Amino acid sequence: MSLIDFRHVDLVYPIREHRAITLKEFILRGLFRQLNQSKKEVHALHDICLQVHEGERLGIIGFNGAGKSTLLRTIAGIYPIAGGTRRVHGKMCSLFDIAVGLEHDATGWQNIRFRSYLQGETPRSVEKKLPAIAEFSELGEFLDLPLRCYSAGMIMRLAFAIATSGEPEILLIDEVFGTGDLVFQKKAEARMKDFIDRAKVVVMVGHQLSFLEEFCNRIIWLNQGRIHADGPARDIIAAYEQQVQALRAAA
Amino acid sequence: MSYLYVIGNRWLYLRRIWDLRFFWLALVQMDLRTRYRRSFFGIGWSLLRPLAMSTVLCLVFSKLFDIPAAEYAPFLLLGLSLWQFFVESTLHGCECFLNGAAYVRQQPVPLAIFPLRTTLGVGLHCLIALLLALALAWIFRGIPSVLALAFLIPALILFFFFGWFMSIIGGLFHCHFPDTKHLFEIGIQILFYLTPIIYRADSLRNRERFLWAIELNPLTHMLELVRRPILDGSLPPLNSMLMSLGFVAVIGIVAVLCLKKLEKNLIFWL
Repeated sequence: MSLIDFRHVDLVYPIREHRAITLKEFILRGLFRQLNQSKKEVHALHDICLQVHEGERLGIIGFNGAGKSTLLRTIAGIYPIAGGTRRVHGKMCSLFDIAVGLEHDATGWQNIRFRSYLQGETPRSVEKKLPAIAEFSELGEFLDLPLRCYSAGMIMRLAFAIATSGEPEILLIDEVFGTGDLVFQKKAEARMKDFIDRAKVVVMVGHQLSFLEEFCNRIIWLNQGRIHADGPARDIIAAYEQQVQALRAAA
Repeated sequence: MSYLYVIGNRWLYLRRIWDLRFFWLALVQMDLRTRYRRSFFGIGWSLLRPLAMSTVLCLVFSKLFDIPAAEYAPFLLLGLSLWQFFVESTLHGCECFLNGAAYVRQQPVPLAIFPLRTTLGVGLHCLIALLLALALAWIFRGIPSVLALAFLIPALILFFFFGWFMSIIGGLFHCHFPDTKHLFEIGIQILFYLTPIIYRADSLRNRERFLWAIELNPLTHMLELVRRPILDGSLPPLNSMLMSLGFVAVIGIVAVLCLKKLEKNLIFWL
């Protein structure tokens, strides 16, 4: 059974021109029936058909603006689709901008709790996980301080430790590398590999082709919101590199 | 799965909110802790505003309206603390989704939890002022009847839902129109004078020109729900109960319809 099943999925972003209109304008224009605001839209994903089965490690590649992150967030259910059907079965965990959703006025411990609760944990189950997360983050007494007092690297370390503490069936990753100092990076990589191994399905976006080639057994290549190619990691990456080189030569 | 999170399936939606209870309760706890800065005195500071305002207004208006201060002070403090609840849930509510944007971008959550967070935080805060008013009423007017106090519970629950609905509406509008908060502030300022907070509604009995505006104002009736039991020891009049219930129901329907229509696409406006 496929855990992710997309059929003819379209995604359309509304775009606000220059600035948002004010409520005052909206009402005034409405009163005088001049509300023909030119609606601008971006068609970010076109007719995406995609089935991902258990055991697959799917990588998404493509140039900037191809819709990689958008596709990942659509799988996560964050973006609403404009057409087609989307079915996703299984407990999901997403690693997108992991450091963004942390509360800077709260202590490290509190942040571990928020995040875990958001992933559906209860106070009892979090209590068991706390020591392991704390140990991995290597933050020690800093965990008692609010995040305001942390350095960027420390925040990343905490975020990474929390984000990789779950037990997801479907794991979605959007370029979370470059965590902290070199020693920690080694440790993070090992933990990441372990985390990836435990999940039934992994979908990741990345620009580091070597990393994708190592971890993925299937790659889709997105181009302007469409699936340009889909197949075994090695073949697709080779074709992609060829095109990159061709473009470089042309430029 | 995300189609499940849209309010279409109401029970499932409420269930999702319940499942995330530890999350939003932790956020409320943090909001309060930040507000009080972890000190007992912090709560004292936050009471300073309604207290100082009540004292000054009490000094001036009890003379002007010729009401004894012992009677006027609890009346005023009750009105001000309930009013503060309404104002803060509406205005803080305007930012509730923007404050929660980081979470919304990471995984699908029922968006109603963010206004809920705002309302609970504001509500607990105003409850302290309300308890103080209750204490004042006891000191000056003796212990109110049990029946009246029992009636306070549904009345405060109604207020809670009112606050939640107002934050939902405020938050949704503010995401789409950045001047919402500003316009709300103006509206609230006007409403303040049309609501019997510092004056008694019956002190205007013989000035009928304004009376209709005050009697049609649903907030007048909502204040009665709490003031009557505490200050007079009696149940509020039936028309006040009906007006309040009807008003909150209408606001609730508006909030739910707006949420149903806008929730799915709100991510694009954050």
